[in-house]
Amino acid sequence: MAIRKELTDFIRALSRQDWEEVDRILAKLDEEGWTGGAQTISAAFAIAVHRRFHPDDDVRKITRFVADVRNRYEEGRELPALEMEGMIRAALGETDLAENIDGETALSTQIALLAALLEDEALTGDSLEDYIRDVETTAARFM
Amino acid sequence: MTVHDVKATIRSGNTFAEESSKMLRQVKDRLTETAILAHETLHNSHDQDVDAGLQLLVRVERTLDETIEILREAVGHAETFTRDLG
Amino acid sequence: MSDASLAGVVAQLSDVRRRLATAAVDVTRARAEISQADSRYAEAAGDSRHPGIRQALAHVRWASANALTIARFLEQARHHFTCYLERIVPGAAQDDASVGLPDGELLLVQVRERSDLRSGMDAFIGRTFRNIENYQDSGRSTGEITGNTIRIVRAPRRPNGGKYIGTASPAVVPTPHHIDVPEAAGHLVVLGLLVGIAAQRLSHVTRREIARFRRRGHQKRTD
Repeated sequence: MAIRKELTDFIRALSRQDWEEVDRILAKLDEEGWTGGAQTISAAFAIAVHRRFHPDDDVRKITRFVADVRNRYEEGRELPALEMEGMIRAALGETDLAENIDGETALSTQIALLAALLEDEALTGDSLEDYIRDVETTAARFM
Repeated sequence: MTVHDVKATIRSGNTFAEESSKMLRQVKDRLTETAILAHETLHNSHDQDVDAGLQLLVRVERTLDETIEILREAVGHAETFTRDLG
Repeated sequence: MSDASLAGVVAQLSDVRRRLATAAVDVTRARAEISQADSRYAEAAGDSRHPGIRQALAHVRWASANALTIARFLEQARHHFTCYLERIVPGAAQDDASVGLPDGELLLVQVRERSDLRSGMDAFIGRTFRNIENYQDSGRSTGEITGNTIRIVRAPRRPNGGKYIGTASPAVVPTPHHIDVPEAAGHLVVLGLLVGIAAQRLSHVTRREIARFRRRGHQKRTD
């Protein structure tokens, strides 16, 4: 089963930091339902993590990145550091670290980290579309 | 595929899932013995590698339990689909 | 430690290492069985959207990814014990744990291939199944949580130790509004981070203000 266009459009808009488009898409998803949303966000996050980090990386690299993300935003301190580190490490293979992170925290940390990872990558054109295709293929395995 | 074929294919899938689950349970049983042996041999070592190795055995056991449960649920879901086929 | 007891440790640790290597191979064989289950379910599923078969598929894919993780953990554990063994008795760990295992089997547990990383991702996505019950019980919607997080990450940044500055786009402060989430025929899938297959009924979801924006019209943050 395919991933809905609104969901990949959401990832594109997030990547481009096109907040008006993000608003428009979120409104549409709220209205029509979020089927496939979890798969898409998780896949987008996991792939973005793997583009930035490697499972063999020193964990301090992850800690520094999380600190940087929390410092970027006015309300960044609201984001929970430990859970953010846990999510990145879980995406890199230590999946049991995600075990005790509740669903709401898992969602919000993934979105926040995804936004930062995509901002740093500044994907455009073909490279953005390659990434989106990768997200679609990966998420579709869980539809 | 006819409904009959679909059901037969699901049954085959279930058999593979159950067989793999059985294999993993056997791994878990043997791993318990291995972990006991490792602890008996190394409990006085105070070594980073030993600690890391023993920790990993704990995580293996947890992930084995989880995977066995996942496979059980997979079969359950497949059976729901089969029932709904009529 | 006496020579006799050291010899005992070496023997027992070698036994542990051999057992872990065997376990890794057994788990890889189990994974091959799971792969067969995946193929059968995929064949039976076709284009069906029935949540049962979609869930069955998602679960076996998760199980397969977990099996690879388990094999990797076993190999890592074995590696740690090998390092320790080599430290206490240099030369003691001459890969004797490979004795008795066919060469081809050893290749099955090579780590760090591309498919290994992909499988790790599958395990991560599949893992999030576990949280969905908690998430659904919390009562907050995906839209709410997403919107609230977006609010944080779109806010203008603050530079290190100084006044914060943001992007140059004009401020837009939408008013909060009420959205009625319609019920899909049959199931409604509440999605969070986690793959949401269970059906839920959403009555009214109040969408929190996506943009409780901060001041706009600042310059970009400089590093």
